[in-house]
Amino acid sequence: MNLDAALQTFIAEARELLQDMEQALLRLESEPADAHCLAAVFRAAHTIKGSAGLFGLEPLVSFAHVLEDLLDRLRAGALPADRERVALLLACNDHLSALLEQVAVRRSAPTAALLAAEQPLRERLAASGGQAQPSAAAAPTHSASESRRWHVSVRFGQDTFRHGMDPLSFLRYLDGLGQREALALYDQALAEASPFDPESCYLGFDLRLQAACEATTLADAFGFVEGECQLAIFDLGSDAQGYAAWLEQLPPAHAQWLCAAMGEPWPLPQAAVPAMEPTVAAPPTATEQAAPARADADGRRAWVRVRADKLEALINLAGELITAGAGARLLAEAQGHEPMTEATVAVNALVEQLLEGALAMRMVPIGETFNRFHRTVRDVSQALGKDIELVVSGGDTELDKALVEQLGDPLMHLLRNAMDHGIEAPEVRLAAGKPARGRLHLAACHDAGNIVVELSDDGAGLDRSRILAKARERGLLGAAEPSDRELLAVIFEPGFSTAATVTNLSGRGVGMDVVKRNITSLRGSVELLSPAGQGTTVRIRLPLTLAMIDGLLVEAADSAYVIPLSMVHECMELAPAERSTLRNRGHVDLRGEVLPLVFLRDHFGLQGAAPRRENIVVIRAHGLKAGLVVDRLLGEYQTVIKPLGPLFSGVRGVSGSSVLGSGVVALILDVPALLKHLTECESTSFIPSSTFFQAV
Amino acid sequence: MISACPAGEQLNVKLGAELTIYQVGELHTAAQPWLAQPCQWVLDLSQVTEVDGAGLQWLLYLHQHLRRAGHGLVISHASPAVSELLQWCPNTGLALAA
Repeated sequence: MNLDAALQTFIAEARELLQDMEQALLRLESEPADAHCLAAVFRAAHTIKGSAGLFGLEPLVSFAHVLEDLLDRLRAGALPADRERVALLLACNDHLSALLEQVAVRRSAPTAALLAAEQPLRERLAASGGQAQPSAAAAPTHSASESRRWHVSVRFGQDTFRHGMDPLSFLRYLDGLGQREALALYDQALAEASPFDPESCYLGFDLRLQAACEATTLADAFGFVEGECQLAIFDLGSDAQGYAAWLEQLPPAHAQWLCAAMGEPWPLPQAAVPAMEPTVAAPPTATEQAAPARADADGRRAWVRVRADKLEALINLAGELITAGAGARLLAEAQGHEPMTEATVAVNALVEQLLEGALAMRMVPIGETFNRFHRTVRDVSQALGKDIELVVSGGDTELDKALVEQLGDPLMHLLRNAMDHGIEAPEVRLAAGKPARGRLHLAACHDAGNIVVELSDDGAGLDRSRILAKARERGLLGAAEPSDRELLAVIFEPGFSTAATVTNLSGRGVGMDVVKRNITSLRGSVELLSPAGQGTTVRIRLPLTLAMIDGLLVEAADSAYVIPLSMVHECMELAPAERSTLRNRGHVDLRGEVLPLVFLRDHFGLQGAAPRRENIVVIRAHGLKAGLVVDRLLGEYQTVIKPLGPLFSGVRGVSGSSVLGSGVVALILDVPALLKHLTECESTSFIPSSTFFQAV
Repeated sequence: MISACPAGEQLNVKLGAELTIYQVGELHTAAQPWLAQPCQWVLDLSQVTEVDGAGLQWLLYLHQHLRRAGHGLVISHASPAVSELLQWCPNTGLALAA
């Protein structure tokens, strides 16, 4: 296996594990008794330590190890997982992430800053009850060269062989550490196994060893099977009592067998000693419980990691296949060959399923992104001295991976804004008769082929008079009373901020415009809702995927255009007799409603005479409606979007292109941009639209 | 991999080249007919070039299984790998015939 590829996998997995760990810690903060969370945190730290060891990433291993010590004690119930410890563990989680980036990603030694940050964490871990520096703690009584008598007892888990481990190699390693005094190969479980499975491991051993090493050295030898074996290590010199107590709690037959093998009398001559924990011991039930618990608690099903670009290539290919299939069908239809047409229809149906399947592979639940914000909300609300909880719903709503990735930053920004400006300080809230704890609600749902992401807060809402004053001051609005929509839209203007003070979180007025630009570039839209006194809601609408579009294919002056179907409201005929009147007037009466008209021929300055009959496609976006006049309607059309080259980046009103089955290129209309144009020109003057569009 | 030929009251069994986790499953299946009718086994391990923990565990199992039925297991010949293992892990009950 390519080691570098394996390292990349490790990095990706470690990042996920650290994220899981963070989530579990945050849950733990509110429910300190949740054993599942604690187990998840422990597993994450443990797995990272184990895998990092495989790649020789020593700084990661060593830090994860001290972390694990504390976690182990928390898990065993020896220490409570109180707020302070959880906060420390969160800090450790951050440090592990930093180490991962430095050591694994950049492949260099930890920086001085990282090491400086690590030391206090280690000290806090030690103070918190982790056995952070066992070597330092145990060393004073023993010099490194002093040989000690150890008893190492290990019972391997059944999956040891399947995990590629061999009990004999552990024995060989320990043997190499010092002088063996006695060995008892444990085969009791073998006798009891029924039926015997030769590939399961039933072995264990008890080793009496004279060695100049620390307990951790011995315990570390079992790092690869930790959690799936029962391990007990005793320093017979200093902890003979511990050993005796351990023997005591073994089944008598077992203890007798062990003493016989060690050449010692049974029962031990000492009086009964108080029961003590062995120095290092896995919970006794670890072998029975660990395996099934691990499988379901991880929620890990059978996964295949696929590189994103491979998936991209597959989707592209499936898209081309649809185009080619459509071409074949057109050809068959043109030839009037019935069976051939039928065959191509069947092929096309399958190809469409293929594309759908390929696209579905790119769909990921948005919940992972949402969950990341729990940490942000926790940290930011603490920094602001506010009490804020984040409620997430609809986390399993799926959308395109590319969208999810690009949605993270804008959402983060909105979240910070809501915490800083939206939600008031606890005193203010109490005075207003609201609970002291503010509430942020992040929700996602599907709505008519779009995904809607909403972030609402229960804060004071937007101060309209202040926005208006600020907007007038900056010359963004005229003296006329703006509509609510216009007023709120001002917030998305570059550099606009009403914040009285600039905090390090927000208020600099950089951001909302960037948020809007980001969302718009994803073919989405963003709007603000703020019923007075009821907090603020930011609603983001996004297409499900960036790769595909369901469209209405239309024709104007022999060119094909695709209008996103989600924006098509209805279609109607343009009466030939009224054409010139309507063209001059620029709008049509749609059941008593004024509908602005855009003649596509005029808009794009297309040549050629208009046909006798034309059609109006009523398009709607951002709550605005307009009629688009085209020559012919060609029907619904699903297509893969091909981005326009950089040469056409300046073209407005077109968002992409698509190749039709016949090989003809169809342009995809950017309806929101088109409508925006229309409203902009309407609010400035009443020039008939035809004239305006010719001027553009 | 495994060959056995009955000789009177006992069964002479000879194992192939390796005795590791990769072979034990197959060996165990192959040995089932003979294990179903236990008798005294004489095991020739002279060709075994490699033994691991799973291999040792299987030998221990054979030994226990036969002994429970009132029979036994003797190793008639051992390759260097096997003798070294037996020396290294004493008191297993597995004995090399003198």
